Amino acid sequence: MGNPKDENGGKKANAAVKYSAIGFQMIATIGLLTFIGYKIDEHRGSKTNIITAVFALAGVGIALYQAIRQVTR
Amino acid sequence: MDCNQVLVSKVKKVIVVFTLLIAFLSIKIDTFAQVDSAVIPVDSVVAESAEAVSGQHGAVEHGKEKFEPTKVIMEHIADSHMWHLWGHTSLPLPVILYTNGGLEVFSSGNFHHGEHDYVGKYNTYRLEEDHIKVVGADGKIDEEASVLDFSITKNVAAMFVAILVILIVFISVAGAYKKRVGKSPKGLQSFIEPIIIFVRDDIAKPNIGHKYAKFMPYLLTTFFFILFNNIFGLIPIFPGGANVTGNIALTFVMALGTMIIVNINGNKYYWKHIFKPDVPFWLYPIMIPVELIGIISKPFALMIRLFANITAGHIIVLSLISLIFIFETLAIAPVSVAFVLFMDVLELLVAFLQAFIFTLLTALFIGMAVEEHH
Repeated sequence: MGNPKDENGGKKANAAVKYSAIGFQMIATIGLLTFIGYKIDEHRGSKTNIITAVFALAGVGIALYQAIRQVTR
Repeated sequence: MDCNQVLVSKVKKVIVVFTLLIAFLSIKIDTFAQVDSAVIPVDSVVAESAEAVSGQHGAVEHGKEKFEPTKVIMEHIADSHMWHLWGHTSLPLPVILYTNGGLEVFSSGNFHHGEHDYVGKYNTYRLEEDHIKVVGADGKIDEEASVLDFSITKNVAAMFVAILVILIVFISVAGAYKKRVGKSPKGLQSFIEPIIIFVRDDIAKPNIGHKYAKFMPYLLTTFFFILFNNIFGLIPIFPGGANVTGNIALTFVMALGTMIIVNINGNKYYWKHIFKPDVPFWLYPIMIPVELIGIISKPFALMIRLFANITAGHIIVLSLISLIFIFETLAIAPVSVAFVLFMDVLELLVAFLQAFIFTLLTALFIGMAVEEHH
């Protein structure tokens, strides 16, 4: 593992972890914003969960932005 | 048919991607519809559990009970006020409550597995689904009464065991370094040293850069704490068996630690990126919240990942064992045991991998925060 010979393999593993992290971060972003929207809708007592939908969509947008920025970094 | 022809122009590529995205979103709508239609059974579940509560003090049938795998599995991965050893033997753990009256400390053995109420100094307590509730004067649970539960639960006790083992291991290793200056490592030392070197050379140095030394204590602590707790979670008998790293409260605290360390050490470039990003000023109202969400969502992903991976592993193993009881035959046991053995070996890998990933991502986030220029 700490072998300098397989440094290339280590770098590949690091990259794999980084990219899998982006997926989890997208889930987290969308989930977090949807949850905030859901709470706002619950608080307002609205019939159609419009804020949830808007926040979820915004979450998708932000998640995409973050993913693109991390990939192109 | 040449599929490449379809994807030649970039515009068409974008169209394909958006079609797929819309298809994906329409699937999402279907899952929401299912959630809605599943509302009715929830009510019946509530009614059932209400029945169970009212019948709690009735005779507990020890005869032919229907095996409910979901209940058993959830009980096993959840926290508990006693530590189950074997059969009907459990290790009682201390209960520490902060009530309106004051502090109250007693043993969870007083509940007799939730069959008895305990009359304390200030209130009467009842153990219900492993949550301590105050019992009112009418013999019913008083939901209004505020009880803060600081008990040493199974998870906390398991954590203490893991910490004890970590301390023993590392104090002995540190002692070995003092005693054997300049000599090659020996025994436990030669097992731990490569892992420490691995964390330093493969996790800290490439991701943080030359300032890595300052963060090594935190990275090593998280790495070994998660690793030891994961491995203890895989041991089915006494000193293990708790689902410590599969508890979202614990992973929350660990992710919070990462978040605090990253933001305390963030330099001016890091903060400039958040509050003065390189975009036209009229985009600031959008960009600043997006960057602020980025601060939270990164550790949030860490929290979810560790929790989900470890909990999923425990659920798979318990489900495979449950198969024996679902089919009510021993013939299925060899299959179950074989699969459980396979899963346990896989979980050993996951135990290491999750500790590695948590530490690596922590190092990565610290690296992004202390980076000098972009």
